[in-house]
Amino acid sequence: MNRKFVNKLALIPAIMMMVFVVGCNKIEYTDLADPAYLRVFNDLNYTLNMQDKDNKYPSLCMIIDPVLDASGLPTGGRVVGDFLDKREPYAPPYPSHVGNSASVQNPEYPGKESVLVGPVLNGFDLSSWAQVPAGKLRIVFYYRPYNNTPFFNLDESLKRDVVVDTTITLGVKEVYTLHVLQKDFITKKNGILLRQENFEKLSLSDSLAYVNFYNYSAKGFAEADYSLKPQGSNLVSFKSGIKERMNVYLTLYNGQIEPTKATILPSYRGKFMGTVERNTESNRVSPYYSFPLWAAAGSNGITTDLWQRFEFLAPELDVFENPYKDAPGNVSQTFANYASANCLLNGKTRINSGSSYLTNGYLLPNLLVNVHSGTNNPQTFATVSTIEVVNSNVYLTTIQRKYPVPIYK
Amino acid sequence: MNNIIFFIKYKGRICFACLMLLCTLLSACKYDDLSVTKPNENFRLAGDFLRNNYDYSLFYEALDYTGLAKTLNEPGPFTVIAPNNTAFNELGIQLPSDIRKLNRDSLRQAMAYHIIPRKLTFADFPVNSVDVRYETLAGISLYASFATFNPTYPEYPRNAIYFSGCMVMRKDVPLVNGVLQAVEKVMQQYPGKTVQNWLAERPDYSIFVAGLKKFGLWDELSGAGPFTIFAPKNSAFIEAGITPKVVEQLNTAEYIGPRLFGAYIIYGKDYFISDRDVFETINSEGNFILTTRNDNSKFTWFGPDMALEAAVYSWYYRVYPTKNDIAKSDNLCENGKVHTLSGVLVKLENCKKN
Repeated sequence: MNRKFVNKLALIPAIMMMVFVVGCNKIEYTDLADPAYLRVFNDLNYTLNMQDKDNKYPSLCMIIDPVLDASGLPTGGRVVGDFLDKREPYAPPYPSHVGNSASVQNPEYPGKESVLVGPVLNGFDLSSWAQVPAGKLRIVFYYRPYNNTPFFNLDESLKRDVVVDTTITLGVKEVYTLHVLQKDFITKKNGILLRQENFEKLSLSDSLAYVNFYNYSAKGFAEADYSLKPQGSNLVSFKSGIKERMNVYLTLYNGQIEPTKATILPSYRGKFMGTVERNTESNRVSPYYSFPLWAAAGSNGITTDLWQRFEFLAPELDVFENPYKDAPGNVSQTFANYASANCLLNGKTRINSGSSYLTNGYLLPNLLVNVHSGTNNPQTFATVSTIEVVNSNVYLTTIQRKYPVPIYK
Repeated sequence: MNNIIFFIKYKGRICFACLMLLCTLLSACKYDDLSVTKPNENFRLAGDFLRNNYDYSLFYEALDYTGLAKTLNEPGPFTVIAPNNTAFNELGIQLPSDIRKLNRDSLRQAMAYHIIPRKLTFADFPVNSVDVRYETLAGISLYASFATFNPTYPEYPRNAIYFSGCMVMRKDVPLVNGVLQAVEKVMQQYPGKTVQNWLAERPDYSIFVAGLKKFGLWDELSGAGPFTIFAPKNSAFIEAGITPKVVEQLNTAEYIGPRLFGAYIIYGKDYFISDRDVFETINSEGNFILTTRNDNSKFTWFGPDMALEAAVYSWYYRVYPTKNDIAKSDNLCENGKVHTLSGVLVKLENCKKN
């Protein structure tokens, strides 16, 4: 055999060997046996104001099972959620804030740091829920300065300011939402509330949109003097907060492009949904109320232009003859008797109207998801949502369901 | 033909020679123009920068007189909060020679308060924060507030910075050993002095002091506080008909002291004159309204103005602080702050008991 040929032949196993060696790069996937699914919100939404000038900005660092050194200083932990800023009015079904911001601050946990997130569980996308070990966990929230320095790199003196230090017990493959909130407006006592969700266990219809309500306001906020409350003009009718017990009414409007000219669906004009009570102690889940996706006459079953207006009224008030319905325009304030929220488009569109009635709604995104799907542009999908009132702010959390696959023909 | 044979025979060597020649040619090329843009070397040391800037001649004189100018030429880094000449003029200092007449030790303390021994540019400050403390060369902290944006309209940022009540007019002037933040007001602090000491030492406020003493409001001003005092000057009281003699002869049983003299004091609060601006930005607080302590009159603080009005509308006075008032405000004492007013919030006839 030709010697040159032998040489060339020897090259082949050498190259193959090289390919094998390179190919043997072992990837170790992070895996968590028996996880629980946890989403954390920082509901401490108080603002610095003239009356409470020395308040600390509520930027937090969460540490689960912290590791402390001899002097009690945290040096690490099993799970760390740093830069936990005040939550945003809208918590979308998937962590879109990760791609929409260059800031290190997180409006919720899981934040921008890569962590294991939940799967699609019983048709619900849990990509906004982090996987954490189930069982009994110690959880500590620290105040941190509002800057870009990671918590463990901060000065020693800044790492001892504990907001809450407690234990929680999480069940395997259960879904939890954890709130850090102010429990008492007078004493400024803070605490946490761990809510075990049940939406993934309910049998829900595809053609109904579901929503439930919570009032996680601090005790004494609604009764406090107006000057002690946040004054942001975006808070509109929620500036005074809402009372201990409120009735919730839904009005469905058809037409998002010109909301002031939208027609009201006759059977959904001030429709009573349920009652919401202030609660910062119990972790019970509020019942879900629903409205049909195709409530408008002549709906084609593909897309609808409905938007929702929720009104919160003190039990003795009538939704149609309500003296505060023009607050805070013609009537200066509501004294916590009335508040409204408009769920319209992406929650950024102000309604320009001569009357204060429609413009006094807190801006939130539509409960219905309108997206391009297959040959339909747009197609409307139902969601499961939660509306939480915390003092003078209101938050919408939308949970995305597993939608049918797009059809291209 | 011979040439071709020669070429074929020595093809390898010729190619090698050509390659070597090419390498030689390439490496021989000089790339004179291939230097990156040189960094600007004209930035000066903080001390030299101030010496050569006529707008800061009084500030430099004060630094030179107290020996701090040399410190500012050291490696640093420093953040210099530099008051311009107008700021000194407002305090009655017109010429460099006026500086030399001042007590050197207290001036050194005052000027060292304008220097932070670290470099702080706009990007280093936390957004929408109030009273962030930074240690100064004076050994005590100054209070920085940042009115960055209104949360309702974050797309229209304001980006205002205040150091102990002084607004930064020009941010981030680069220096070789730090950064300069230009202000139009001298920061004034009085460590170890209470608001009571401050007022007692200044004859210009003697009518206000006499009034507070007359109505039993004086002694508590040496306590823990904090207090925010808008102290009217004597000229303001005299213009309103409240002369030292009138105060002396006042019958305390006939007049409401907490209104006549107490309305100028915010008890339990510690405000810089700029705080109203800051909170207007970060919390949309259009005005700040308080009920006067032990009285029913209503105190309102608008932009820089303030007003006092009757519980049931019958009288209303509004005072517009002058530029000089603002320059002489924000006197930082141990237990509060004293600001200056050149008008009064209420007249004698509105304070009679029924």
